[in-house]
Amino acid sequence: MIPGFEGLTYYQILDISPGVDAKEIQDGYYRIREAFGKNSLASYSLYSQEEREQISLLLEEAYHTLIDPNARREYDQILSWNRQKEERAERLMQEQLPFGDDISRERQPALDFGAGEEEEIESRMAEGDEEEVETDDDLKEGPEPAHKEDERGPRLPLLELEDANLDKSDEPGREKERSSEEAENEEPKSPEDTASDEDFDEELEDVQPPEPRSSLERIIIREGAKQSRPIIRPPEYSEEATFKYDSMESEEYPEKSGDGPSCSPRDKDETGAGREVFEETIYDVPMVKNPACPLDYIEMGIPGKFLKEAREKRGLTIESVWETTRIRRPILKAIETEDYANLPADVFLKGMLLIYARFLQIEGPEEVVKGYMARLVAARDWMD
Amino acid sequence: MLLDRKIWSIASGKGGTGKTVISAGIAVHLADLGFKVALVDLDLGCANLHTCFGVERPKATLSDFIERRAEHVEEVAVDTNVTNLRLICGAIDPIDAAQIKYQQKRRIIRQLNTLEADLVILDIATGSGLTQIELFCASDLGALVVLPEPPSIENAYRLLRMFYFHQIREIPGWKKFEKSLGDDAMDDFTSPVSFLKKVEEKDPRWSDRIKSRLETFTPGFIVNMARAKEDRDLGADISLVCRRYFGINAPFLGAVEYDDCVWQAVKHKKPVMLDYPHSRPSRSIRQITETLLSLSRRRT
Repeated sequence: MIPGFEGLTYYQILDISPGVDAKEIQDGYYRIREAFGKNSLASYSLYSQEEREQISLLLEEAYHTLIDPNARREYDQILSWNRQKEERAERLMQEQLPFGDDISRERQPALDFGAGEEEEIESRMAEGDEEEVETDDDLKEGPEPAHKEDERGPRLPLLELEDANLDKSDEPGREKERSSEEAENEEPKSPEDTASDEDFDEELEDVQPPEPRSSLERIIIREGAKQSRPIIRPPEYSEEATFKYDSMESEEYPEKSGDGPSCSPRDKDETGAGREVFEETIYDVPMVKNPACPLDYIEMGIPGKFLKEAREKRGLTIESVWETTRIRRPILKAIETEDYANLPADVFLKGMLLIYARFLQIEGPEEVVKGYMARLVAARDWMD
Repeated sequence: MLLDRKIWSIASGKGGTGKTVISAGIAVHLADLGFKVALVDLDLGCANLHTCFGVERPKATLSDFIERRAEHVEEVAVDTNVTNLRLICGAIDPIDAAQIKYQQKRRIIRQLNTLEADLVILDIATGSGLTQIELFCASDLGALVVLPEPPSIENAYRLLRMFYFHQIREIPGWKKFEKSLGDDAMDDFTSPVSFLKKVEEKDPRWSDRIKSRLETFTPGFIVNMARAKEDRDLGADISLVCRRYFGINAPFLGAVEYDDCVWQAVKHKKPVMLDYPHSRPSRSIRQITETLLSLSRRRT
């Protein structure tokens, strides 16, 4: 294990407090990467090369989980579950050992309740308000092996439960549903829910049994982070330029079909004036003099919209992209909206696109540059 | 003004990092602020702090005190041309001056505490001898000077590690407990964090004791001869790494820029603070002093 990193939450790894915004997550990420990176002077001689690589893996996981709003929400939920579980364990320990001495200070590897304590929880559960029942139930399920069944269907060990939760991106919603359902009437679960639980059960039969909490948590979350972080690939695009001549008359453009990218029309008031001139000239004279936005009418390459979507998928704002990449915000906007007139010179644009695509972790950033530039070149050719 | 932490020590793992220049600078600025300062050269074998102040041959040195020609440290303190600043020069004559006995060390530390001064600054010799470690650990506030280069930082960490384990060994009753831990508990490859964990498994009371002892052990870092931005940032990184690896709070006190004026000042046998008061290194040293002062006030 890497010294000083054992059992840390992702927030602790990034040296930030929970609840900070994306920018601070990013800052934390860069700070830690600098301090523990491969060429870092500061951690040289204390951490071996291998350990630094492990730290870097851990750091990447932490960063990508927290920077992604969905993954972060799920992670926060797991953290609060674990915290409640811990508090609960402590409370139980104290009740058992009223004169709590050294033993109470020992860390509990996992909740290892006997049958008697089990009953105690049940009775306590009944006392608590409905909202609590839900969480307590989850907590109780934690250390239990998966054979016990009650009216709620098979019980899941914590690991499986959480893993399953992470499988589903809409899990937080589902949780809430379930709790409100129970709050209203203590009905058995809907068949759908039970079935899905069983599915997980089967699916995850070979998952290792619950381990001490800290390492367990890490495993779950590592898996979870991988699944919930979307992989963004540049779209396939045609090398040949096609123009939406037909649609220009009608103002209604065909929707994107298949996986070929397309440009949706932009807001009218944004380029309305330019388009008017454009439309006039195209039918009168074949030469286009006004380069308002020929990119709107080209169907090829990778459009700026793709970058915008990728950014939104990562939950980033233009501001936070600027914070890190230092590409000026107007330029970022111009790139995303294909604001032809305000794009920088090609040689700069290429570099910026590469930086931007890498920053968004698009697989094959070079492809994005190629696709984007091809589009631009085609537009230019067309105008000439 | 009364400070909680009276004795400050400046040390470094590797030679030539600029301890002497920095400790002289800190002392000059403190004297400037109105504190009564005593600057002590504890490089017992190769004393040279007096040269920084242009004192050619000090009238009295620490060796007078060690060999009991002087009864009190007060007697060997010499005035400098800076008001409020007195200098206690390191031993010059004896060949074996660097090897002082434990009793002598204790006597020095005891007397430094009673010295008539608001602040005592110790310029501790390079190296990882027991003398250096004990003196550093006995001081109220310590700073390690590092250069932004691997050998210097590696040595600083080695030194820090020795300080760390020395702090633990100083806890009464530790020797007995250490035997029960086994031989390899404190070896070179155990990180302090995993060492602490091992202790906790054995006896949580001891790990609590160690933790509370280490709470007050907060050695700061000063990056000297910084030439680039990443050199200045290094300090914060070191602080972060120390928190993870050692589990201690090692604040970054500041960086001192590389500048030829320091070298000029040394040639002129003057502290850089007096020779080039408006240079960047002087400014940085003033800032570091302020940081140290704020740390001295904070405790209890």
